[in-house]
Amino acid sequence: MSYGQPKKRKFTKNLLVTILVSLLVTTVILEAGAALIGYREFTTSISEQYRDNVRTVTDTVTSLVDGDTIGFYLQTGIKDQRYETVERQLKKLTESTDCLVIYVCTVDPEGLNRTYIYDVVSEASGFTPYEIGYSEPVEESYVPAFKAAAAGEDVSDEIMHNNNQMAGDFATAIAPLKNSYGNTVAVVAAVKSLQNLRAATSNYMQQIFVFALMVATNIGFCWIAFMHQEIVKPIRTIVDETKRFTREWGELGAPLAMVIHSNDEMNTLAAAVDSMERQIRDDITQIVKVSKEKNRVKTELGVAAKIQRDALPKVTPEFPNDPRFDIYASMDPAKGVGGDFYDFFYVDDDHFAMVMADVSGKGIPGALFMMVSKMLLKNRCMYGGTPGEILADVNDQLSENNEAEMFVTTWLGILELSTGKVAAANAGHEYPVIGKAGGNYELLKDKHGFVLGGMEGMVYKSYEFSLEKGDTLFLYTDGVPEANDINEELYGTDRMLEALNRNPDKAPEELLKNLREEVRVFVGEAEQFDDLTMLALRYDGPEERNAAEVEAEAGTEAEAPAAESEAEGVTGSETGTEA
Amino acid sequence: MTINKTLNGTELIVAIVGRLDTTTAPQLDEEINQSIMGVEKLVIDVAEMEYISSAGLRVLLSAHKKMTKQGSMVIRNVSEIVMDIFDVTGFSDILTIEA
Repeated sequence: MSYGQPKKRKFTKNLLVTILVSLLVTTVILEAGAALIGYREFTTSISEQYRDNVRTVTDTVTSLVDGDTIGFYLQTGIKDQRYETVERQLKKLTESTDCLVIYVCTVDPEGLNRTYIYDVVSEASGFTPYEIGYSEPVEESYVPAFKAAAAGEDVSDEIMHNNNQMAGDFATAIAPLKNSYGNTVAVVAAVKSLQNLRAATSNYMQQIFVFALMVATNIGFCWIAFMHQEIVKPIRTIVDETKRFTREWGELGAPLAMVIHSNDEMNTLAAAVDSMERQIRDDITQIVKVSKEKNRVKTELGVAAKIQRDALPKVTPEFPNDPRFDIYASMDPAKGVGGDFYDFFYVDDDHFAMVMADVSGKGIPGALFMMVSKMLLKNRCMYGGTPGEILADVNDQLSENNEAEMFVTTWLGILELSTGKVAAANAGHEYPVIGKAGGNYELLKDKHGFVLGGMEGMVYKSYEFSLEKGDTLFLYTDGVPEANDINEELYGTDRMLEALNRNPDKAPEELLKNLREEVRVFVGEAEQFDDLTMLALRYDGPEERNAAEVEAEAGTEAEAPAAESEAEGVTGSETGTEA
Repeated sequence: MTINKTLNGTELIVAIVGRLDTTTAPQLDEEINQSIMGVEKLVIDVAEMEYISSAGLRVLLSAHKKMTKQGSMVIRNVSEIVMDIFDVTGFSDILTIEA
């Protein structure tokens, strides 16, 4: 998680700039639209006015000029007193109506040429008036209107536009002039400058623009102020609060909903953030509680694993430290606490018991069942009896009220140290392995009874075999043959025997360590799934002792349990020759 | 592991495919416990069971005990590997195993 310096400025600026830009764009579009509509309305109305204005001029001219005199003036070219009176009136009209030019002319029927009768110009126009009788071609764009006017039609709606360098933009309106018989004899025309119209339009546009700009600026400022107060400020408050919340590891502060008073979504957001903070606070409390609990369980499991390990006998230089045999055992639980166990102990000075067992479960349940099984087995051994009797009794006790239906596979053997004879019984456990001195390790395919704890009233057969001097007995749990590699291939008893046979004469400790390493290499990347428990004992033959000691022990041996086992008629093919 | 159940009247056939070990055994236990109400013959078909661990054996033992009270349970199509495990653990003496 990053606790870098907050980029508050950038965030705020970006939001405001975005709002401002979008506001400006919207305003410009709106303003342009309004101006366009206004412009069209304005020009239409001005043009209308203008048109009426010019039409009035042409109407006035029509009434001032007598149509019956036109023919005379055109033929003679004489400017009599009446002509001059009309010309003066037209001149006055020109100035008073702000026209550039007013003229009266005859037009040929095609509207192509006109011949001036009157031509009056305003002082301001700077034009020189044409003399009476002067002819010139009609401007090309004017031809249709002139032709229509010459034919006597009303063309007052046709306003013709033109421009030249001297007068700029100007418009011309024309009307037919009729004589007393109603015949069209000439065309009157009024020319008016459009400069004023253009100026008015441009002035109007400027005013509109300035007004719109002022409105836009005002709205913009109001918006920014509003956004800052109603949005940016609350967001900044919320951002600051969430930062504080993170920094202070979920400590609750004053609720945001109390600080942000608005009734809009900001208040909803603030309330949502408040609720989220409370939820996170609760979750943190819960997580802390759970992890404390987890740590406690972990610690207890560690202690349990230690108790379990300590319950198993350790081979030390002091124990058993017996010249008659060499022993080594190891247990590697897959998890903290395991279900496997081994055990070895003296029943009496001449009898040494060995147990190898595997509980059908791991973890705490397996470990509990293992401890009970171990205690029952050892205690029962001390009371004497054959391995078969011992297993039968322990089975009955374990089966009693065994609601969890756990069971334990057990191999129990009692070695008579003076003879090398082993009395054993197998409750559903793996075959033991015997390595003959100078020979190979082989499975001892013994008779199996049912597992311990599975069902009451089971019978276990004892059997017997002998160890010669230098022979090794190897016991293990299914964690060894059933170790998996990543392809789920089992290690198997064949590989196990091969590994043992590679170094058949090694001492028990090295034998176990070598095998452990071989299994580790085989398993490779795969996770160790089952406990790995092994025990090896090499029989080194009876101790050479003086007669007094042997005699002293002979008295106690008479009651020793192993002595009874011989009565069961078990194999015992090779009796201890060295005894 | 997958479990296929077939119920024919009062006979329930449960076929196990795959590995029956610590991780999959609870699933089988639950399936059997849910289904054996009123069942008089429970057949566990292990033809396609690759491996059985002690946790799996425990489930079979538990089922065997329950079925003893209300009928019978047989294990069918036992492979050589699984038979070895039954022999070693002594389960072959307790369970009814059909070839």
